[in-house]
Amino acid sequence: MSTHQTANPFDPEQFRVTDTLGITGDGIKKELTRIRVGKPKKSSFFRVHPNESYRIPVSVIEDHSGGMKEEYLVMPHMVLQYAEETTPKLLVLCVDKMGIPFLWLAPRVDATSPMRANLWNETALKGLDLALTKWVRLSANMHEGCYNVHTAGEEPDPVWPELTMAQLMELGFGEERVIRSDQHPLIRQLLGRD
Amino acid sequence: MDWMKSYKSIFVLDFEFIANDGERPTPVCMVVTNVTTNTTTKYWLDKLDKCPFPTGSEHLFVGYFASAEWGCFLQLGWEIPERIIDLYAEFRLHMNGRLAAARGNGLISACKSFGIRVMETSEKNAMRDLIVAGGPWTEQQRNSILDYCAADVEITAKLFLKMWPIFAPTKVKLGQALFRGRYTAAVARMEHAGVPMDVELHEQLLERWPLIKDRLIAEVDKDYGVYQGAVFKTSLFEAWLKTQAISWPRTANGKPKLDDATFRDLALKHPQLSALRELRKTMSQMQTLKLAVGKDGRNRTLLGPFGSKTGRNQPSTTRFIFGNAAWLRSLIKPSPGYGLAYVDYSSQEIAIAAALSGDQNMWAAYSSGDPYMAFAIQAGLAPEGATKATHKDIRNQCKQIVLGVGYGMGAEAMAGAGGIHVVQARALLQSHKMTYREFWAWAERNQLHALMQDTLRTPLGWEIKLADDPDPNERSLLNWPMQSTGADIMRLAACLLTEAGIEVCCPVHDAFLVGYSLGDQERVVRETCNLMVEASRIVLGAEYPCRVDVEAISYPDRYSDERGEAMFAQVSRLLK
Repeated sequence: MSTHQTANPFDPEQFRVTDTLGITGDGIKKELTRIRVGKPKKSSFFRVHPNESYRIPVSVIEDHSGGMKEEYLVMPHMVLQYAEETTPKLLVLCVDKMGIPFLWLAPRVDATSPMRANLWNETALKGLDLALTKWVRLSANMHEGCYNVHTAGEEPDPVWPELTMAQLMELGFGEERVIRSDQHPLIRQLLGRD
Repeated sequence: MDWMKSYKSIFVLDFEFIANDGERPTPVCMVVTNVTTNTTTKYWLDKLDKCPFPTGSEHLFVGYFASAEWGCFLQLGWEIPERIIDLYAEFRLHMNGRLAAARGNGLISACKSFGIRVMETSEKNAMRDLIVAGGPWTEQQRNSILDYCAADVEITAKLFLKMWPIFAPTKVKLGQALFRGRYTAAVARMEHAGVPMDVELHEQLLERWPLIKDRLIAEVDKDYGVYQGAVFKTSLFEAWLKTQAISWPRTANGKPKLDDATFRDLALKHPQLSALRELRKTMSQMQTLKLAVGKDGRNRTLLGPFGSKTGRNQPSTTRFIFGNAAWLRSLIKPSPGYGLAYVDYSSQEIAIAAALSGDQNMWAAYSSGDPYMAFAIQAGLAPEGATKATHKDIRNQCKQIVLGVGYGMGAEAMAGAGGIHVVQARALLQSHKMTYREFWAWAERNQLHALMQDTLRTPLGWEIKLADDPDPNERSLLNWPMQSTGADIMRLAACLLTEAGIEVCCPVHDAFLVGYSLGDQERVVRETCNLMVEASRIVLGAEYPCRVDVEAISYPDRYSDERGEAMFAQVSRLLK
């Protein structure tokens, strides 16, 4: 076969493309040794685990003393005692498009919850619902005071970590960020004992 | 179909050469492996008087950072091959958008990432030192150098076989790879040409720079009082800002931001900052003058093809004349009987954005010749018939928005650059989104796909695919198709110009500096403009030609960048 019938870099008509979007995509899998606890990143698409066992109501105390917000899990038997300090949240297992799982402390708004419904919470929860079946991206709309919810079209489902929610919580919070008694350093600090 | 079989022979080759600052390469030896016959031949310089193989389109040539090999071809007076694969370009492309790309794009990194065993770096460095020493070499040293060169050819051949399925799965993909290879020949021709300099003035500067730099600081600082000796003092700068009532962006710890981009943006709003910005840039880059100027008086440095994520060149900021402070560009000067033309695409980003998105409103604005005024009129911010003369302020504000979108800027940066309040900038940006709906829908779709790890690609096949970047820059993704397609156009134009025999001294972002004998000026400038417009038509489509602007200078005039004119005048005074 003559090479002149093969690709010719001097004839751009042979290799110019008009479709400038390619549809491919591979994720990255890595050994899970820790898991981030926080909000979905504004630039990431994510999915929420469809199994309800990976969405559990929790209560947290937010500590701002270190210059950045850090959430502590409060065991149920402590919640009533520290009702003023605790915030109800829904702890949700998510995974982003890179295949990296994270635990989202989503807002928890229900009839019994003291948390006030607002547009931020409402739109975040709409995003959460959609993320059960679609890839979703949340971006803050400061002008409207809510999240913009973006969804992507038909995309493959994510690969979920093969760990239980309890194991994931242990990776996310560790023992030091779980409040089990009055003796926890954060509680002692709140009570002015330290 | 395995396109590899369609070549009569596939040559993998590598030169060892001496490359002194600013000089063309001096070949030392060459090793070539014919992959088709699995034979390797080693040539010392004395056997390189003529090219030992055919270079026509039936034969494929493979190198790693192949522009260096073609630089040796040009020095030896050989024809550059017609079909080229540069595995450096292919590896850069393969890794584009991956964090691992930051770990290096050298032959060794590429081989390691494909599991090919390589020579230890220390051994390589020792051989490089031996070659750079320039000889004379003993027989044993010659053999060692040839063996070293052969080892690189061997791993390049292995890399070629591993990467072939990646860059040549289809005829279209192979064509794109060959086009990138074709560009490496253009790069070699541009590096071979170099930029003509005022050698006398450059030597004067080299000799006296250590003496005059303190006087230059003192002279410029008279209007500011922010230096103590040669040291820029932030506290004094803050005091000066107060006297000028300039609000300055701060870092997280409250200190004024002192990077050049901040100075650039603020200098647009407060022109009194320009001289200080130019001085700071000069001092940061020129503790010592590092411009690479050869004995023939030409500034010559590696152009860094495919160096950025957008596929644009990334030449050294200190060795390349156009990477330095603007005033130094006045060192560019044609020799007697010679002229230079700086030919640049006019508002290229806007033309690309309009063409790729198919936004006819935006194309109409570009076609009007004044896309900034056109935007103001289309958005209802200025009446029909408004001109630069009648509506200067709103045109300037719109200009910042239109340019800012092309550069991927946010409203805050646009406000800083345009000297307007951020609220106004946001409103103007909103108007831009309303006026150019098709463009924004297209741009945001691209951005979302990129974040979804889909591949973005340009018409001629440069690609990006986010793989493991946990926090990608969203705005740069919005901007990527325009910048990368601009790089496509520049690559094709560089090929067309150099293949037409035009002396291209260098590419400069969206422009070329071309040289000619004065008697040939009209023809060369006309042909340069035609070929650059032709390149844009080929990439964007025949109905979307980009305009070009020309600035020509003839001996004894010198090149001048208006941003550096005042500083150059000051330096010239100090040199007298």
